[in-house]
Amino acid sequence: MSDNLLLSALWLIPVIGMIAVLIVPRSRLDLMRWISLGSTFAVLVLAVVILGIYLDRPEAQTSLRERGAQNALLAVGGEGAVEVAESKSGSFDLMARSPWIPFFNIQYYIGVDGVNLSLILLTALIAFLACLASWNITHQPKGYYSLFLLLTASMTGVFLSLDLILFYVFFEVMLLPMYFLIAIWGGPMRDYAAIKFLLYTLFGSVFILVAILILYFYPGGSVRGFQGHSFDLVELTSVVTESGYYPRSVQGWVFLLFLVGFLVKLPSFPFHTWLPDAHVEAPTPISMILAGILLKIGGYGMVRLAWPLAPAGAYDWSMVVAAIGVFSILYGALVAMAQNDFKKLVAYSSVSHMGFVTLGMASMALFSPVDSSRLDPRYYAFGVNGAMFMMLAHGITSAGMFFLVGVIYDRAKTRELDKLGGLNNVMPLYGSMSYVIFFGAMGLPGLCGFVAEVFVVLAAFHYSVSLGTLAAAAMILTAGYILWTIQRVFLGRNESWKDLPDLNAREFLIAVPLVILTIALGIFPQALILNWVGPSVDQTVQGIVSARELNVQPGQIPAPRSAGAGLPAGARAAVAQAQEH
Amino acid sequence: MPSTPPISFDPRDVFFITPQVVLAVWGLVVLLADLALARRLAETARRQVVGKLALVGVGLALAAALAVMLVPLFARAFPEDASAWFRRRTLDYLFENDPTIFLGTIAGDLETGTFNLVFVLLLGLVTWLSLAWKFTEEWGEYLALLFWATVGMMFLSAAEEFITLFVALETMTICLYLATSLEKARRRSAEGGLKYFVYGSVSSALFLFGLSYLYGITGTTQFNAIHGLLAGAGESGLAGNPAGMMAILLILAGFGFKIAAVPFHQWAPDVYEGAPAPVAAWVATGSKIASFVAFMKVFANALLPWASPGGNILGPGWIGVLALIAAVTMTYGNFAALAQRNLKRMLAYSSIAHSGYILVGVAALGLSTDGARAAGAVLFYLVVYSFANVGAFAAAAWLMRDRENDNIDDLSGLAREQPLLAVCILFLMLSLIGIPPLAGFFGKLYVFMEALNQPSGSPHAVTLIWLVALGLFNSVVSAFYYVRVLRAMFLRDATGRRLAPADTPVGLSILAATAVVIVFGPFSDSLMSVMQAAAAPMLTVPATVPPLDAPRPRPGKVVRKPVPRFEYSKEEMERMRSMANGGAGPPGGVRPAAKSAGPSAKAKNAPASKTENAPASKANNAPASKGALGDSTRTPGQN
Amino acid sequence: MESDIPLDWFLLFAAAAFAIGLIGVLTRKNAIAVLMAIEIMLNAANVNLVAFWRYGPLRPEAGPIPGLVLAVMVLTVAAAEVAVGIGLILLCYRRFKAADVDQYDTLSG
Repeated sequence: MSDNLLLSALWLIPVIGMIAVLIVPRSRLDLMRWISLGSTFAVLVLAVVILGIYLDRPEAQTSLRERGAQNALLAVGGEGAVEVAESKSGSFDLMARSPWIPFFNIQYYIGVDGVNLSLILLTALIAFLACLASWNITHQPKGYYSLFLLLTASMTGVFLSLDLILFYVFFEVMLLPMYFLIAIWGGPMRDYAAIKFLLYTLFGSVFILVAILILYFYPGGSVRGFQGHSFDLVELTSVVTESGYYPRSVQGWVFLLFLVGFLVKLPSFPFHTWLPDAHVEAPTPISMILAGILLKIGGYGMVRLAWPLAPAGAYDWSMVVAAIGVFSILYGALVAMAQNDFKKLVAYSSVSHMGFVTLGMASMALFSPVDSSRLDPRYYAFGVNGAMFMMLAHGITSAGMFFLVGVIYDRAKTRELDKLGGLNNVMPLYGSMSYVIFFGAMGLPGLCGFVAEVFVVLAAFHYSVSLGTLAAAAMILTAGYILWTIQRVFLGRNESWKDLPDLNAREFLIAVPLVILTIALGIFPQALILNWVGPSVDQTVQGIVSARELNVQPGQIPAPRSAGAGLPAGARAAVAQAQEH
Repeated sequence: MPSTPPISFDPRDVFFITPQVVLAVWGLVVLLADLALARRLAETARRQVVGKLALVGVGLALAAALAVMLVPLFARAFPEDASAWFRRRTLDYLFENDPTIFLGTIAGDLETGTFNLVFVLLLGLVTWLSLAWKFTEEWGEYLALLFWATVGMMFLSAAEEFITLFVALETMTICLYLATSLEKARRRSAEGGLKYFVYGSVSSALFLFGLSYLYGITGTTQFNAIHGLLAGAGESGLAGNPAGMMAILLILAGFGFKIAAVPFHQWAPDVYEGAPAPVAAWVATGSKIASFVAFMKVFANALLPWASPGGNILGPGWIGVLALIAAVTMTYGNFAALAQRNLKRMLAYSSIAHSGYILVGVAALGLSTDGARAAGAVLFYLVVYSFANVGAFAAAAWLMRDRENDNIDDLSGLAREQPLLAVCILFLMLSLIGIPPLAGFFGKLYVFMEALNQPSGSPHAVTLIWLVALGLFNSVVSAFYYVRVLRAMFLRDATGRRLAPADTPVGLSILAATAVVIVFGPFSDSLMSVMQAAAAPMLTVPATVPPLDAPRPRPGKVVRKPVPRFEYSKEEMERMRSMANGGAGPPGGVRPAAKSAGPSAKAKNAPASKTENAPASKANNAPASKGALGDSTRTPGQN
Repeated sequence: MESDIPLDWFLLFAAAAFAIGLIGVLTRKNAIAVLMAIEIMLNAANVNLVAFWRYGPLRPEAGPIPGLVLAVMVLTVAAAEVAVGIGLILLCYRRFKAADVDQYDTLSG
């Protein structure tokens, strides 16, 4: 049960913190702040501890599928009585499950691998920094901090869940605190922005729920003992990978439904209109969370749900999705260029950057360029790794950018780019921090954005030369709007701002980790991220690629790629099984 | 298993209706106390005195309901321990699984027990809420009417045949007509009452007319007997049976009025808005639960063979009509609610929409292979919806008391003034939208999942999938108008008069409702297992006298004398059938046998005969969820 | 018994009465007239019930309660309904000074 406690604590600590904040008397603002900060810091520490365990323990690094089998739920005796078979008692394999609603086979099933652990770390970090950035919120602090902690809890919960209903529950719980955080503590148009956010996301989540229900109820007969009626993400993924339980047409529907749901969240081109409004109206820390984490949930849903649960559908629609991704990149960049509101500009840059995630996922060049009958997912793995890296990199840079915009808005009370200018002279520390983060977002080599963009563009080139070219061209647009922004905000002279104070200690403390990470991830991507996230991503990719419904002929599956950490035994066994089938 | 009900009346049957008796008597007590004593008191004191007296009655009824629910459960769970104790007191009667009592007219099963309890709990909240402010002068009458309406609801959910059902339905609604119009100070109350009366009476007449045809077709009013007879008729169902179709449509219309399904919904907004908030709460929750339970019993038990004969959705069966009504109801309810500014009117349209969701569950029940699960999901939804709604109407009562208006905008600034209750109302609204992890979400999830849980290859799967998809998108639409309440409470500054702090009645109702909605969210499976256990006997064709073990004599039993009954001879039956089918009657008296109780009539011990006719077709429909509540859900076939 | 009226006649009569009642409810404006129409509908159902009881086959499964009991119950219920209905109409008449249902229009939307 230690795994259970360890992982559950990631979302329980903020919930406990929330209750504590609610109990504290209304006048004790400082106490509420420190409780919130303490809770988020505890989550951060816990996430780092879990990362340590993950890196340390080989049993924690095996594929989710293997660990799921070790943690299988065994029916004991009659109906209802269930226990968890954990082969090695007390082992830290970072997965836990127990039945929740036995009538429908809904479980409390949580676990981590590289993919979600990296995002949980990001969540913990950004939540901590955002909590620090909330210091100047004095309007109804009790409500603010309790909702903030609830939001944190639900976000970590989403990343932790390995049961689809549990995932959906956390996904929906997220909406409410976000709605109120925008609607009460937001800008002048907050009401409109908040309801727009709520309805878009609710609408998207219905698509996700429908897809989940299709997976649960689709009657595909019985394939190796699997008869549907499961919300178990790990089990469903392996069923989809290894058997023809879900035919291609069903996967197409499931994929489209998931895609719409997650594109709303991401957001990508046709469903993105809520984002600029929400960002512009949200208070600074909430913008940080929104850009830094909430958008990643859309991307995570793609990596974890949409593609692995419907690989054939994803393959069939990949060109369309890739085109949507490229269009989002270009559109976001072009619209960003036209903005005069600093925050809106950053918001549209998010749309643009999230396009890379879509593109990376959709660049499904599965076959070898030399021999088109031979599977060669190397470049696709680049794409997915790039998408993951983009999520992490964008999580850091966009949170940083929104924080920096918030800093200047606090001081100058305006976000209009035309009015700003010359800040570099007035606030040198602020300026230098901003350069790093903005260049990181731009994709300057040596900073974190570059790695992600290279990976994705490489995969995209391999998939479709024209799309790859367009995506690469978009990097020029990105450079264009970012440099122009820097010019308008920091360079030149502007007498009206000469009295602005530079960053204070608290703000400096928030900006420094983001700056350091921006640089570090750019210089040591392999050591810091790819070494431990990569294998899990590769497992996902291998699962997608070896799905039977992709009409792979036996014997055509290549040996696991030697790059990366190599495929673990579980994936190899899966491939072998798929071959013999 | 004989489906024939017992022929004589057993005085011990009264045990099973003690809650009803307590409430009926206590209604009189309250009425008399108010007339004789409390009239002299000042307004507030009188309200408090009479109200507290009424609450005592609710407490007594609660005790009675618990006894009626738990004692048989206990007796069945520990037969050995209990038998000695009970047998001494001639209560071995309680060992029977799912007895029907009073000549087979009423069920004394777990479903009845559970819903008696639910009704009493809700009645307690509604009664308490009524004490919040002065909206009428006739306190004795008002409370007595609430009590008697509850008696009607209890009998309605317990009815096992149509006569009881009809009388209970009328008891309930007539009391509610009057309670609706008791707010003397407002014209809208009288108008609401009259509209309720007109629509309600017309729906009763429609129902009754349909019922008369059903009686003509089957010759009986017992649900189980009707089920058996219709099932015996084979697959043809309603095809070429205009009287049957008429019966189905009219009965559907009658129930449609009671549950406020489109196109029979017009009364609901007016009544909810016009009635005093506690009465509106009682109309929206108690009468809806009772009507839905009766609806399920009638359609998923008595008329089940006519659900979809031949497995064709467009074929001659009620599934198609019901699915259509469900789709229209939820869509119309939600879109009409969008335009509302009055809180109670908004809740009325939302309750129409919720009826639509529940009807999806009922349609699923009609097709389900596992009736207890599907019905359990519907019952779960009903209970959760009811508690959330009582809380919402408590908010309306609060507004009415302090701002003398119940528009949504009047909630403005509530969060600033009363943060705790505002958060509670927030939870209630979220539960009504269906946001996890609140109970409303799981209610919807269960109902929709049961709807989708069709056997593979079912011809109805596609219809139900579309219904569920429509239901989900309707849930998103519903967010628009529920969020309006939240916006008023949390985002607007107070306008107009300050709300005084909620006193116990309002606060307690809201808190209790919130507790239910929160607790049965993450822990929904506990309530769900109770509801499934309760649903099992409701849909099972009950055995009238199922012995626990070998047949044993009842100590001190009233000897049941076989009542001689006259039966038609074969040729007489033939003749009458041909007449009923429209042919001119052949010469000869129609029922000479009945008229002359002479030697030609065959005296027969009715209950003992025709055991082979027992409609066992439903028995396999209820492999009840074992576990939660012992073996209370055993089907007769297993005994 | 040759002179017995065929069942069909009763059914047709009841259906006609019911239709008249329904049309009355839908078209009449006067509240009292609406009440009367409702009574006609209830009584039409009663005619059906009694006719079916008189002509229909008696089934052994039917239990000890014949349809006639239902008819008697309906009579009492209808009486109660009339009493309540008249009361409500009087109440509305006092509030609105009109017996015309179209005039009761506080509630709408």
